[in-house]
Amino acid sequence: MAEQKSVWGSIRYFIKIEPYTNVFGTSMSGIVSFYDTHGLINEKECRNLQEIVNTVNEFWSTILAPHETRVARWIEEYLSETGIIGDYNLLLRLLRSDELFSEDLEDLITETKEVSTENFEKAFDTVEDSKIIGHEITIKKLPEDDYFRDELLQKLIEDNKYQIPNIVKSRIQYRLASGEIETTEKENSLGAGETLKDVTLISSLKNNHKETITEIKIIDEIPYCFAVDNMEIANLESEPSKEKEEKVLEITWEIPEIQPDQEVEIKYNLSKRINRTILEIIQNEVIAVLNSFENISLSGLEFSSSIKYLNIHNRQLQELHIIDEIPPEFDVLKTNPEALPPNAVIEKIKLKGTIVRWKHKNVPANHSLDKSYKLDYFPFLFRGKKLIQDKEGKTIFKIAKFIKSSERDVGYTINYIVKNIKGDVDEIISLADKLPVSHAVVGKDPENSQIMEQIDDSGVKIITWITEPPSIGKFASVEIKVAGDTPPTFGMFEVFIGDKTEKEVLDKESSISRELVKSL
Amino acid sequence: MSADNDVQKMIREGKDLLANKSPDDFLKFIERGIKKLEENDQFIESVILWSFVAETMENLDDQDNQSYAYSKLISRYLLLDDLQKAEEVFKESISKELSGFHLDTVRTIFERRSEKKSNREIISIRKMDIFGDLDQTPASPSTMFENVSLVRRYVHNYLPEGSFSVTILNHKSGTTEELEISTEKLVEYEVISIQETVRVD
Repeated sequence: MAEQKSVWGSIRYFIKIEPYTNVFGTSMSGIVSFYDTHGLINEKECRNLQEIVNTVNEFWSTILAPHETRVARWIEEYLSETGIIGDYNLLLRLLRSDELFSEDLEDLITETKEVSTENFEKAFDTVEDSKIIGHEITIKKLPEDDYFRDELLQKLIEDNKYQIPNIVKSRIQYRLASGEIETTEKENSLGAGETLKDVTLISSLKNNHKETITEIKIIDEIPYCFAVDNMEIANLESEPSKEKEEKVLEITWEIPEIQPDQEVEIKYNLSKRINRTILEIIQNEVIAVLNSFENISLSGLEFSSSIKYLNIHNRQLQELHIIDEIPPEFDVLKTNPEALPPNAVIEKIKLKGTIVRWKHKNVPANHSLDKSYKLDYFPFLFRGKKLIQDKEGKTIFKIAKFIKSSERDVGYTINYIVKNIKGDVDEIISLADKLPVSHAVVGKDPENSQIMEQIDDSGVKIITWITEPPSIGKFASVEIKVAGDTPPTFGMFEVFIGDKTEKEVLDKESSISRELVKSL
Repeated sequence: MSADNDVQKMIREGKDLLANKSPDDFLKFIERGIKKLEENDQFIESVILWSFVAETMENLDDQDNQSYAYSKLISRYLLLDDLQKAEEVFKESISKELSGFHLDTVRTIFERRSEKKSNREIISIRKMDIFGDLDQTPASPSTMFENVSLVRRYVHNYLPEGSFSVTILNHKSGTTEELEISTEKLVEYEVISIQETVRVD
C-alpha cells in the first residue's frame, strides 16, 4: 500500500505514488497525489514513467527550487519502500529529457520483413489451427547504452505485438437468379460465453432479396488469438473448410441456397489463447520477432498451458525475450520453471491483466526452453440485467442477476434483484434460470424465499424464484448459495409475470472487461 | 554576462524560434534556460521569462501553455514570498478562465497559503442504485472546496458506502460539473456483462 512521503527539504508537503504495476520500467503507469498538512492538494493519473517523474518534478519545483538529482533519488527511494526496484539513472535521464528518444530509435531500424515460419511451427509443435507470424528486423546496430538498448528491444516487442481485435471480419459471396455474383463484408462483435474462458461469435446472413440466392460462401476470419472449440450452422448439415492465412484462420461455409427472408446463422464457441511474442537477437544487426498463440486447457478446476521453444537457428542466440500475455480472465497460479527475477518477472497491470516476461542470454543452437503455466480464473463477476417492457414499450421491471467467484470447493452465490418501475403490476413474478446439472442449491436468504429446483425433460436443471412484485421504486431480492464441483455457467434467466412470458428480445449486448467493483 | 543580458538574449532567441518553429519548441527552449537560472536561485529572472511565455501563449491563443505559464508565475511569486503579486496573477488566471492540472495544484497551494476562500460547492448528491438509477440524497451546502480532487476526498470521507453522482457549482466561473464517485471498497474483477431488453405480454 503506497504511503505519503515528505518532499525532502519541506515539512509541509508530501507526495504519494500508486503504481499500477509491480515492475519498474518506462511503461509503468499510476497515480501521483500531492498533499500538504491540511490534506490532499491534487492528484493525477499518469500513463507512463515519464509522466510520473515529470508530475513529481513539477510539484517539487513548485514548492522548492528545481533539483533533478534529488527528485530522481527521492523517487527511487519511494519505489524501493513500496517493494519496487527502480533505476536512479533511468529516472534522472527521464527527468532531463522530455522525449523517450522515439525518433532516434526509429532511425536505428533499417528494414522489417515478413519471414516464413513453417520451421518454427514444426519445432514449437504449433497446434493445427494456429500459426506463427514472423518478422525479421534489420537494425543499424544494437546501442551500447543499456537504456537505449532496452528501449529499442521494448519498442520492437511493442511494435510487433499481436493486437487482439474486438470484432471479426466476415466476407460473403452469393449468386443472384440473373447469374450476377454479389459480394459483401460484415464485422461481427465478440460476445460473452457460457463460462469465463468462452467467447461467442455469431456470423449470419439474411436474404433480403425477393429471390432465392444460391452458391453462398460465408468466409469468417478468425484471429489466431482464439481457438475454435465448436462451430455450427443452424438447420444445415455443412462442414466448413479451413485455410491458414497470414493473420487469421479463414473458415469457409458453402451453402447451396437461401430463400427470401430466410436467415442463416453460424455460431462459434471460441476460447482465448496465450499470446506469445518472442524476440531473438540472432546477430548484432538481425533480430527475429515471432508471434505464437498457445491453447489453454481445462484440467479439473484449474487450467494449464505448456509452451515449447527451441532455438532452431544454427548459432547461439545472443539474447532471447519471451513475453506471454495471459488472457485477463486468468490469474497465474504457478509457472514452470519458476518465474523469478532478474530473468523472469510476472507483471500484474491494474485493470489490464498479467504478462510474464522471460529473458535468456546466450541460448545455444538446438537448445529448448519450454514453459508451462497453471492458471485459475481471475476473480470474476457475472452481471446480467434485463429490462422488462410491456406491449406498449414501457419499462415495467428491471431485473438483475449477479454471480461472484468465491473460494474453490465452496461453491458460489447467485443474487437476483427485481425493481418495480411502473407500479401497477400485482401478478406474481417468476425467474427461471439454468444450473449445471451437478450443481445444487444449498442455501437461500431470506430463508422463506420460494425457490424451486427441478430437472426438465431434456435433463437441464432449472431453478425458479417466485416472488410478489415489490411496490413502485422498491426492490425484492434473494441470494442463493450453490454447491458444485465445476465453475458456474453464465446465462440469462427467463422472466414470467403472472401468465405472461417473454415474447421478444428487443435488444441484447454483452461484454467482458476488467472493472473495479465493490468487494464481497 | 549579467543575468539581465541572459534574459534579454533568451527572449530574443525565443522570438526567433517562434518565427521558425512550433510553440512547443519555443517552450522547451525557454524552460531549459529557466531551469538553469532557477538552479542558481535566479527566480526574479524566471518570473520575467514566465511572464514573457504567458503573454506569448495568450497571443497564440494557446490556453494550455498559457495556463502552465500562469501556474509557474504564481508558484515563482510564492517562492519569492511575494503573496501580493501571486494573488494578482492568481486573480488574473481566474478572470481569463484558465485551467489545467498544474494551475489547479498551484492555485490550491496559494489559497491555502493565503487562506483565501475556495470556490467549489456541492449542490446535489444523487445515489446510484444497482441498475444505475439515481435518487437524490441530502447534499451539504456551504462546504466549499478548492478543487475537484478535494470534492472527491470529501465524498470518500463523509458519505456512506455507495456510488454517487455529485454536482458541483464553481462559484467563480458560474459553471456546474458532474462527478461520478464510488465510496465502496473496490476490487478488480473480470466482469462478464449482459444487458437485455425483452417484451413480456
